[in-house]
Formats: sequence, C-alpha cells, structure tokens
Amino acid sequence: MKKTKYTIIALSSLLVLYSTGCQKQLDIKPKDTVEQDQAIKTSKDVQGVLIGAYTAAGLRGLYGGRVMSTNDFLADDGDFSYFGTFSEYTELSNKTITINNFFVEGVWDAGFNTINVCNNVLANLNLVDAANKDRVEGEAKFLRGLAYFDLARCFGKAWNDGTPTSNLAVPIVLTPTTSVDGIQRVSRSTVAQVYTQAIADLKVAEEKLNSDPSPASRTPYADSFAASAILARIYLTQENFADAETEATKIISSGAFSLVSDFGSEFQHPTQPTRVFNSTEDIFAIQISNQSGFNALNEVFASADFGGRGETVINDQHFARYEAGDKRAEEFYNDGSDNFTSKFNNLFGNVIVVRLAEIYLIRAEARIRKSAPDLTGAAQDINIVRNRAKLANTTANTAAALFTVLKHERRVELAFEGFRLWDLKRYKETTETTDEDGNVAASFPWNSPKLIFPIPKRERDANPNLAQNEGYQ
Amino acid sequence: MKKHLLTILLLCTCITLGFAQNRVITGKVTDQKDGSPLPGVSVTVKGVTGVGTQTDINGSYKLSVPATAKILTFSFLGYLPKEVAIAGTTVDAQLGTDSKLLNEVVVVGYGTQSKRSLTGSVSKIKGGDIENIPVPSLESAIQGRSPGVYIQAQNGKLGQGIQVRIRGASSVSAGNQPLYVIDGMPITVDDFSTNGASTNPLVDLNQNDIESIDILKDASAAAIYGSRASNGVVLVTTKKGKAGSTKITYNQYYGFSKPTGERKFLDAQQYVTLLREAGTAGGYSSATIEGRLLRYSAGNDDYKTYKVNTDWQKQIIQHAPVQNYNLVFSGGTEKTKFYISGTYNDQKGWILKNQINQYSLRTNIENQANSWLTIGANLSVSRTQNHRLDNDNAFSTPEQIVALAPITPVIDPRTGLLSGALDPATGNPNGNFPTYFNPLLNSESSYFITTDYRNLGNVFGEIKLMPSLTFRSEVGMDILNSTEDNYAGSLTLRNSGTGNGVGFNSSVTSLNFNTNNFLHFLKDIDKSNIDAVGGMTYQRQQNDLNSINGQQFPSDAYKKLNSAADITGAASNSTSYSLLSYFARANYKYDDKYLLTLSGRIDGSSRFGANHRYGFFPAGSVGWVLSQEEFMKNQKLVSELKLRASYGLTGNSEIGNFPSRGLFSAFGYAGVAGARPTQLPNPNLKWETTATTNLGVDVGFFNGRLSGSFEVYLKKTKDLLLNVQVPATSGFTTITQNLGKLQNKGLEIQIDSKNLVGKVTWSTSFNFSINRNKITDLKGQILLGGGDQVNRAIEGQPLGIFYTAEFAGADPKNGDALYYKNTDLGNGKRDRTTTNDYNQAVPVVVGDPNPKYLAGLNNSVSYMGFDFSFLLQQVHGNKIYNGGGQYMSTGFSNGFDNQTIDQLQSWTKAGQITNVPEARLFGGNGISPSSRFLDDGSYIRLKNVVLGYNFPKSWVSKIKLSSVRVYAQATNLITWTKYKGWDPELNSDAFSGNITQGYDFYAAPQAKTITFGLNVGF
Repeated sequence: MKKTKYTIIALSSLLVLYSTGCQKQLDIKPKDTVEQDQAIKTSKDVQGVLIGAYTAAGLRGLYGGRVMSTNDFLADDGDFSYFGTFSEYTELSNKTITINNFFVEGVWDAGFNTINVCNNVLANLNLVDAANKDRVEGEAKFLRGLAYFDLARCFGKAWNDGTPTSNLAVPIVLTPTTSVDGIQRVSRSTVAQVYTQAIADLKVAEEKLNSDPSPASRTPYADSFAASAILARIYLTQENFADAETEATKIISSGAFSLVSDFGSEFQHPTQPTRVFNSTEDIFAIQISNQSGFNALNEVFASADFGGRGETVINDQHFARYEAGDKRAEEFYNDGSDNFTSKFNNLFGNVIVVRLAEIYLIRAEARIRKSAPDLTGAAQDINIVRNRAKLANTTANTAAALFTVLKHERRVELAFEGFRLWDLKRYKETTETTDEDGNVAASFPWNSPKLIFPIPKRERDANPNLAQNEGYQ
Repeated sequence: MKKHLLTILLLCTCITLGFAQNRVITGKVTDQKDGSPLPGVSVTVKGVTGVGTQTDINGSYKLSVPATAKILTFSFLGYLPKEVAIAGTTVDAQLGTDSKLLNEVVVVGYGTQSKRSLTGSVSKIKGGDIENIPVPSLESAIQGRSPGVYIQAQNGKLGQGIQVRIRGASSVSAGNQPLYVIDGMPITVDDFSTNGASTNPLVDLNQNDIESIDILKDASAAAIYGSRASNGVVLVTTKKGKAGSTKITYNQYYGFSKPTGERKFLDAQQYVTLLREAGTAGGYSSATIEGRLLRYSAGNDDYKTYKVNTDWQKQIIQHAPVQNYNLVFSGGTEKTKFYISGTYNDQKGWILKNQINQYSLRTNIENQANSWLTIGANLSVSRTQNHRLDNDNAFSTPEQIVALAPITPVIDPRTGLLSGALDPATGNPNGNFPTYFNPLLNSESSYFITTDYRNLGNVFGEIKLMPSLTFRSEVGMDILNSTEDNYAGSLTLRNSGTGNGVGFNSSVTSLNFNTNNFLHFLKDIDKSNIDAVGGMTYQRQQNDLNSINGQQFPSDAYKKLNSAADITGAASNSTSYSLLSYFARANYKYDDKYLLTLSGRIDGSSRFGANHRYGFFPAGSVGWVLSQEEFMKNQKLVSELKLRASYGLTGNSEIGNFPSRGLFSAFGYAGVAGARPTQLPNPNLKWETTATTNLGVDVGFFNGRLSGSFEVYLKKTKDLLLNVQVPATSGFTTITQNLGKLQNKGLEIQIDSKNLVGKVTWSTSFNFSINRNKITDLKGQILLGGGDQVNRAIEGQPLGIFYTAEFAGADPKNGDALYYKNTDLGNGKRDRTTTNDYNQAVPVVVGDPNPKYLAGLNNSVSYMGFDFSFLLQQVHGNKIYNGGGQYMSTGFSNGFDNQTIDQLQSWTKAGQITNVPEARLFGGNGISPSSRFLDDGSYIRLKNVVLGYNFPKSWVSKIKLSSVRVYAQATNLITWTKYKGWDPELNSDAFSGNITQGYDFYAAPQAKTITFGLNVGF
C-alpha cells in the first residue's frame, strides 16, 4: 500500500506539472510572419509597409508586367501572334475574354491589394517621423493613384466613350481592411470619380515628394516627377491637353531625366547584372532582381534563350511599320525561326512603368491637339524621340500631319510596353483579329465592349453589388 | 501489449477466496496453435466453487485444490474451455481458439478492446495481409481491404502523396486525411515537398513491421482523439516479440514494374495530316504549317514520308526492378521480449529516373521489471531516399512528353544528341525544338532527391497500482529530417530559364513530441465489467526549414551549391503547434449482453483564436449481444448477433498553424525589406465539429463460419473551416472562417466466410461501401478548385462536383464547338438550345468525382503446402476530368501538342455529325473547360494475386530450417476500366486538393508489379 500511495502522489504532482507547464505552451506565436498588432508600431514599420506596397504593385498580375501585356494582347491587330499555352493570353489576343480569365482577375486582385497596402500606410501616417512623413504619404498616394487610374482604364469605358460621370469603373476604397467585419462590399464608382480620386492622390504625391531635379538624387522609388508623369498621362487620356502639357513640361524642363543615347540601351539586357537600378530615362520602374520580383513581360515576350516562354512571335506586319534606318527596328532578334522583341530579354530586368520618351510624346500630342496648337514645340518633342532612334527630323508641319507622325512614333517607340490599347481608344481607331494570310477575321472599334475587361467572376460571386460590364452578362 | 492488457482484464474476473487446502497443483497453459504461453487463463476446479486462480504473464499457475478435486477447468476469452484430469502435481493445458466467437482484439485509443464487446466502428487489417506487397507505402497495401476507406494514389510516381478518405470528406478547406497513430503516438504526416507535388511521410514506415492496422471510423471509437478525429483515426501497431525460443525469419523478394496503361496518340502520318487540316482551318498559310512540320521533324523532310514515328510515352519507361530484403529476430524470455528487424528496400519506378531506396531498423522491447512495473520501448530508424520527378504541371514531368510531335526523332540527326539538347546555331539547347521542352533532357541533366531520416520511438512504463488499476506513461518522439537536393543542368535551359545550372537544397527538421499519461481501471463486480481509462496527453510539433537556391555553375560536373556563382535565394522558416488534452473513456458491460461506452476529450489547441482555445468532444455508444440471451441459446444457426449504436462529436483542426491570426509577411524590393498584410485576423476561429451517428449489426452463422458486419452512419459537420472568398477590393481574396455545413451518410458491409475448412481451406472476404457526400450550407459561397476550376464546392452538391459548361458536340454547319446554354428558365427548366459562344453557356453540374460505391473481394485458398489468394478492388460511378484535354484533345486548337486519336473524328465538312469540333490550329475551338473532357472513372482492379508454396516441414527440418515458403505475387495485374486515360486511379499532384478531385493532368499511370519471393524461418 505504501508503494501505491507514493505512486499516486508522484503521479498527481506529475499531472499538475504537465498541466501548468503545457497551458503556457498553447500560446505559440508565428515566427515566419508577424501578427497584425505587432506589425505597425513605429515609423520604421510604416515605411516597411510602404516598401510592401511597392512589392504589391510589382506583383506579376500588375506592374510586374501583366497590366501592360494583357492590354497589349487585347489591342493587337496582328503585329504579333501568340503560340502559347496560357489560354488567358489566347483569349485576350482573340478579344474573347471569359469572365474567369485569370490574368484579368490578377490585375483586379493585385490592383486592390496594392491599394489596401497603401491604405494601411496612409492610415498610420501619424506614426511616421516628421522627416519622412511627406515622402511616405506621397509615395503611398502615388501608388494608389497609379493603381486606380489603371484599374479604371482596364475595367471601365474609355474617358472619351460616352459619359464618364455615369460610366462605371471600379469601387473606391480608401481605408485599410483590418478585420473580417471591416470587409466592405462596395459598388463601382464612375469613371469620373475614379479619375478624380487618382488625380487627387497624384497631386498630393507631386506636391509632397522630392522634386530635386539633380540626377544624383534619383532613387528607385516614386518622386514628384513620377507623379507628374502619371498626371500627364491621365490628363492626356482626358484630352485635357493644357494640363498634360504643363505636367510633361515640369519633367522635361527639370533636367532630372535624359534619354539614353542608344535606344536599345534603355532596355536591360541579360548581360547586365541581376540588380540594375533605373536608367537616366526611367521615371518610374518596378525594381526586379534575382532576389525579388517577377518580370511577366520577360515571361511572355522573350524567347526561351532569355528565360521567357518563347510564345509571342513578332510578325512582319510590325516590322513594316519602321522607317528605314530606324534603330528601334533593331530591337528584335530571331531565335532561329521566329522573331522576338529584345525589350524584355533580362529575366531579372526592371519593368518600366513610365520613361522620358513617353513624356516627350505626351507633350507633343498635347501641343498638337490643344486649343491653340504649338506645332513647332510638338515637332521639337517628336524630333528628340526620332533623333535618338537615328532618324531625321520630321518633315510634317500641319497639325494633321504631325498628329499622324505622333501616332506612328508612339506605336514604334512604345511597342509592347502596354500603350497600344489606350492609344487606339484615344484615337478612336479599330483593331482586328486577322488570320495569317492577312484577312480580317473580326473587327473591333475603339469603343467595342470586347476591348474592356469583364469584372472577374470570382469578384462578383464575392460581392453581389458589382455590376458586370456590357457583353459579359 | 494486447496480451498484457488482456491479462489485466482477466485478472479481475478472478474471484479468489482463501480456504485451507491440501494439494498444490502447478502447470502452464499454452496456445495450441503456436505454443505461446497464455496469461490470464482462469483455472478452476470442476464441481468445486470458490477455488481458482489465473495464469501469470508466463502462462504458469499455482493452485491449491481440495483433496477431492479430480478435474481442472481452463477457460479464457476467445478460446475453447478445456477440462484436464488431475494427475500428479503438474497439470499443463493447451487451449485451442474458439472460432465461434468474434474473439479478435481491436486496438482503440489508449487501449485495446475485444471485438466482441465493441460498440463503435473499427475495421482491422492484419499485418500479415500486407506483408511483402511491393508498394511504397502502407495505404496502397490496404486499398480495397476495408469498407468505407477510399484510397487513391495521385499517380504512379513513387512515394507521392496518397489520398485517404474514411467515410468521405468531412471538410471543404481543412484537412481530410485521417490521423495516424503509431504505437500510441500521433505521427508527423506533413508534406515537406517543395516541387509542387506532395510526398507521403508514411513511406518511411516498413510495412513488414506492422502487426495490425485498426481504423477508427465512428465517433464512439474516434472521439477520444478529439479535435483531430473527424476524418477517422488509423492506429498502427508494430510487431512485438513473444516469449519462447528466438525466431529468425528472412524475407526476400525481387520483381519488376510496368505501367498499367497507356493513352493513344496520333502517329506520324495522322499528326501530319491532321495538323495540315487544322492549319488551314485555323487560317494559317501552308508555308507556315510546313515550316513548323519541318522544324519538328528536326529540319528535314522525313515528316513527308512519316519515316520517323516516335511513340514518346514509351521513351519514359525504364526497366524497373524491385527488391526487398528483411531479416527479423523475435522472441524473449517470460520477462523480456523483443522484436528486432532490419529491412533494405530498393524500388525502381517504371518512370525514367524514379527510384526509392530505403533502409530501416526496428527494435521493440518490453521488460517486466518487477511484480508491479513493466517498461518498454519501440524504436525505429529509417533512411528513405527518393529520386523524384517534377510535378504534373511542369513541362519537365515525364508524362508531358506525349505533347511532343511523333515526327520528332528521339535523337536529333543534326547533332547525334537527344532532340532539344543542342542547337548548333547557338551552341545552347534548342529554344523551339522539339515542340516543348523535352522531358528526356531533364532526366539526363537533372535530379531531384528527397532523403528522409526518421526516428520514431517511444518509451513507456506501466505501473500496477492496485489489482484493478494501472497507470501508464508514454513519452515519444517522431524526428523527421527531410532534405531535398535538386540540380537542373545546362540541358534544361528551356525549362529552367538558365543555361548554366540551377540548384536547390532544403532541409526540414520536424520534431514531434508526444506524451500520454493515463490510468486504466478494470474490474468485475458480479455480472458487471468496467473498463475505464482517463488521463492527459500533450503534443508539440515544430518544423524548422532551411533552403538555398543558386545558379551559375562552371559546368554540369559541379552540382552542389558551393559551386554556384549566384545564390539567388535562401530562407529559414519555423512553425509549430501544440495540443494539450484530457481524455476519458468507460466501457461498461453487463452479463456479456449489454454494453455501454462513454468517452470524451477536452482539446486545447494553439491553432485557434483566443476566444475558442478549448473544445469538448463527447461520445457514447450502446450494444446488445442478442446471441447471449437465453432465447438465442437453443438454435444452432446464428452463433453471434449484436446490435450497436453510437453518437458523438469529433473535431477537425487541420488548417495550418496560424489561421486565426492577422499576419504581415516580409518581402524585399530593390534590396530593401518591407512587409504587407497577408492574412486577416479571426479570433473567433474554432474547429469544425462533426456529429456522427452509427448503427451496426454484427452477425455470425454456423459457428462463425459465416460472419457479417453491417453499418449505417450519418456524419454531419458544422462550422466548416472555410477559405471564404471575399471581395478583392478589401486587399484579400480569402479568409478562413467557420462557415457552412456538410454531411456524409453511408452504408458499409463486411462479410467473411470460411467456405472450406480442413485439408483444403478457402475463405472469402467481401466488403462494400457507399458514401454520399453533400454540402448542406455554404451561405451561398461557391468555392473553386485548382486547375481549370471545374471542381466546385456548391451547396446541395457533393464536394468537388464538376460544375462547368455542358458540351454539346460540334456544330454540323461549321464545326464550332457547341455548348448547351442551360440558362435557368425558372420552373426547374433550363434552355437546352446550343451556342458557340462559351460565355453564354451557363455552368451546370456535369458529373461527380466521388464514387457511388467501393468494393473489395478477397479470396484465399490453401491446399497441402500451396496457398493462393487474390484481391479485387472496385471503385464505381466516379467521373474524371482530363485537365490536359484542352491541350491533347482539341484538334490543335490550343497549340502544336500531339493529339489523342479521338481527334481523327473531328468535323471536316458541313453536315457532318460528330462530337469532335473542327481541328483549328490555335483556333481555341472547344478548348474552354466543359463536360467535353469528362469521362467515367470506374474501375475494377486485380489488386493483388499471390501464389505460394510452403515446403513440407519434414523436408525443411532436414536442412535445419523451420519453414520455407516461395511465392509469386502480382500487384495491379489487370485493370478493367472505360477510362480513356492512362489509369483511372489518379489525382493530379499539381492541382488536387479537397475540392479538386478526379482531375487528370498528365498523371503517370500506376505500376503493375510482379515479384517473386522467399520466406525462410530458421
């Protein structure tokens, strides 16, 4: 019996020990990640979340490249052909987007993810030390404004198509979501509302961010000129040529940026190191390296020799666009049987969001099209871009002729960089699907509903307040 | 252990009364079958009440009997009672087993129970049934052997994840695999694979060391495992030694594997012809098409004469020998018993470069230290090396080789090397020849090796506190170190994106600590019997992972990362969870007729929100053994009849370690670190709860020659842990919430028959089960599976239902793919007109990946020294979606992939009625997900056949051996199926999940293995 007594005493004390010791063990904190209530406590934390906003913006679905490539595929009228297994690109190329198109959904999801991260930054600005406060606010608003503008373009009708004040774009969310209960089911705002929001954000960014024109003060992050550049783009889209010219001039006359003398050198090539900062021409670019980021333009446009999938072949129709001697026509290569663009040959190259050549062309267009055209100024801007491509000055001297030259310059200068759809909508042009023999299979005018992304099905399943776009009901 | 617990059980049935006696009899009681001692046997004097004892652990007894005593009676549960006349002072007895009784002992949580008094639902598989079956893990070996257990391999790659569903899937987003417990310890079953295809940690266990597998299916049996029991519990018990002379056995087998099936693709002539047609229909000039043909024909005109006709799927088949060597020592003394085994297993897969290689050792030892203390240890160590293949969604996975054109030669005549290995123009591997990256280049230039080192061990002590009360303490650790070593060489440029080699190395150390401490009370009071356990258990698992990626190697001769010039990534991760629980169970039995079991567990888990850290999981069951009633005693037909019913709650918490927390994750940008929110907090998160009702009848006829077990169950799960889709405008696309309900209901039948006994024995075992899964409430959510998102979770439908556009064949006018519009017209009708605009076709339910029923039929015959057995396994009524169909079965509408032969029926001229739309190169004609790619997945498989011969004892003893058996065995020998793919047993390793089921994506077929073996007893 003695034995039993001792054993029972020993056992019960053991049980008590286990119980108390183990109770504490139930409180295990994650180590790979940080809990929300620990994540934003200091100024440095908020600045870290701002970096997080850049990583969100750089997701492959968005400025990692697909916001450019998806729209280029949708706009293309036969300059290139897609021979790949991503049915998302095939659908875009054929202008038959389905509501499940994963890349379209990716633009939406990554876009709003970026906006939410920016909202997290902006909601915690009070924590940021005075020295950094303006910069942090400005950069977050830059990214948010940029994202809203592109989402509005992708998912809403063009500005010049009907009534922007009643056409629907995307929902506007300006506060961070931090709890399950905080998830809102927001309806779509109008195109005008979203543009207004984007402009408001970018104006704050333009005002608060670094505007020191010294080339030495350039960083990989957004500055005041980057905000001006996107504002110029928005004003051009709105056909507000005066403001577009003003914004473009701010950048050009600052001297903060200069065209890279050799066109091909503007694009990062595989021989370059795996982490390259911006060129003198880049106003804003998503930074990619072999450590972080993903270049979705390399994926879709480069051949297998350069880390791409080798599925997007450039056709003769595109080569025919170049004037003889145009250096830009050399930015291609043949992998033995097919032609590819060289613009995205670095697997870890940065994805350029806006560069100086575009700003010259924006200003040229604004000068041609504003109520009191400045044709001389426009020609000068165009010639700067042409001269860099080793072409002579343009001989056009009427507004109409210069406009034609301008359109052409945009097409060859900015090819595959995500501009074509917006240009054709602004110019009210038509795109088509063609077969290999050049016969038109189907034709899509600039305001065709097929040239607007559908609201992703997944999103509408989760938020019944979202109306679908025309043609996708 | 079983025997030991029985001892305790029977100790208490003994009623000892002290009287003055005048004669002492001693003796030993053994099992008639193998001479092993039987502890706990009641020894009484016939005709004299109040005199009796029980045999001790060694089967010995000592009993004082009156001088008048003439006959001793020996009785023991599960054995026929025996009367022996007293002659002298030593009376030994040999007891034979009683086939009439359901005398099996089943392992239940924290103990064992005789099957006879069981009121819950437990299926038992004996280790002997799965010995020497040449499959990489035990799940494959038990396929078809137990009702209600649906086991599905992903594909034929060795050591891949295997899906086990016990009575259906009980969760939409949380885990659906059962809890695995080995010798009392829940083991680590995490998948540490990083290549996109899961691995199976159970591969590390040696099947030949398994004594039994007990599957706990209903709440009464499983609720004692609380928050992890909803998917059933698989209890594995390893072999233990028995007292007696040391037995040495040696097992060896050797064999080879082949694929079970193949899929038919176009040959060279068909490819060229159809591609030309498709090119024209797709609007391509003939120059373009001929250019492509020329390219894929290695730049020569051979394609015009179909001279090269490569059957690519044959190129990935390798000679696949299988070998296994196993040496076992077991035995011991009355006080110390041991089991020691060592095994070497080397299995080559039929798929090029696939191989698994394993060493394992096990020692199980038990010692009775003194009259009140027993101690022991079960320890195993193993090393398993798996030469793995890329996941099904990679161009480099071998089965994707079928996409290559049959006109492409294996060896490029221009270079004398594998096609794609060298482009003379660039000096690099070809970027555009053959059609896609050639998987053979991957086999030649790269490797992916997973090596597991696993220590699985526990020690235990059992103290007899009082005759009816014992305390048992178990402490165990499962230490798994899993490393991955990967190198992709220069030939893989087109796949890996770099031409100078890419390397990856990772190491995970998983420590799973577990302790169980519980009291066991067992007592008879008159006709009542109480068997109760209660105690606590604590478990903590921590996984630490490190990994490195690097590129730029001097040449393919350098493969380790110390030679990489560019380290592109490195990571260390750590994650853990803990579980603190209290449990209790009481079995009450009255007069061997009326049975009652109550159990409960309180689980505290680190995984859940602060508001719901503890959960309670109770269960109860009752049984009535009718055959023990007086009114049943007078008939001979029914020898056993028991009714039982159970109800209880179980939980599911397999949702990752931190699902309830709001999380920020770090990301780098231009060399600067930042963070962004990646998960929203949900402090209310708790486990899923499943309420299970189970009704069963166990019946035996003709003295147990024919027996059957019939069960029906209803499992209702609520508070589903769902990855709920939320508007992306919140910055998140999903959050984990308790939302929704589902249910499984079903029927299970198990029938065993000893058709012939005696010289020729023939026994048949049949099992049949039906499970119906239905999601009853998702609050209107529609959850999508991976892959093409054709699998859905939808209210009112089974989990994983195929929900997509309904294909309507080809338009006779123009060859367009047509779909039924299926627009809801109200009043339950749908618009059955067709459209060629895919977006106009409303998705509908087109099929179910869940089988309608499962069945297994096992037959064993023995005559003289021969034994023969075969197992048929059936899965019926499930559908399979071919996710690769959009590439391989759409008439080049999605690329230059070689096509399946059904594409020869494609539409070619107006008026033609066919189900195959026009072949249009890159025309996207019918490539969108639809019922077009759905197929019947039913099959019957001759899972296992064995023919063996035991050499006669007389002959064997001459060569100083105790037994010799030779056998031939075939696994997956024949498969009967209508499925047009390679093999109907599949689940894409790249896409499958809870929702994505029955999804084929270039799944390599299962292995058909034939082995020849030898078992020798020394």
